Amino acid sequence: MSTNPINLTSPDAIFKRKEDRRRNVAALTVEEKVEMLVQLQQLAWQVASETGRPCSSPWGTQEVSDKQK
Amino acid sequence: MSDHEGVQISVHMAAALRVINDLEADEIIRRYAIGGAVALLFYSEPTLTFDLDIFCHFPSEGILLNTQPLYEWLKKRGYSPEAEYVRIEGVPVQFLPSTGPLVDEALERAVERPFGGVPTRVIDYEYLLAIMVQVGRPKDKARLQGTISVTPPDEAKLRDILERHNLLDVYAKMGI
Repeated sequence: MSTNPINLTSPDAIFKRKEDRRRNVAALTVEEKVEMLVQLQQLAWQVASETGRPCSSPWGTQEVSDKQK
Repeated sequence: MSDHEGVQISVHMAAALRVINDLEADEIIRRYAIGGAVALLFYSEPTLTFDLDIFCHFPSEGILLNTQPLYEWLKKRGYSPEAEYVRIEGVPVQFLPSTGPLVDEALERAVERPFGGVPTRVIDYEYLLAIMVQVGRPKDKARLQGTISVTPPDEAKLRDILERHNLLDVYAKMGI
């Protein structure tokens, strides 16, 4: 019988890694976090556009946000 | 990580903060500090927001605020209001007056922090948390839970603020 190629891990270990990542992100510089925030805005805006939900436009764009149209 | 023109967005935010510093220097607004989710970025992980909240005092504070000098000053520099905010250098900025003693104290004790080489002022972490407790919307509770789990506050300092502003019971009921 061959060995299982799947990496087995516990849910606790997954959540622990997730928490560690959040702490690492929290420790980034504020300038880096602003860039991440805008990525989040772009993602939210894209998903909203595709589903027809109103959403403000990401920073750095000059378009009037959908909620004001 | 950049905007559609290939310019880092933090450059936009730094430029917006320069404009806000000019507003304070020209005494259009009095002592200001960054609040809300953008202020949290100075202490913890990013959470989604679309506004840069600027808490400030206005020169003529009373029952009604006269925001006309603020909007006229901004308009002269090409920044026009869009609904509840003004887009300054691509960043939607909301100017918020103090809502009471807690925000007054938070503004007074706000800390100087540079952003992209621009000096600015940010509401202190424990005051930010206390303001979220006071505002108490579902999104504030969710942010509080998430933020505190990643970046634990100075418990004694937070407790002192909450106690002095009669918010300990509200905080306890949040079950955080």
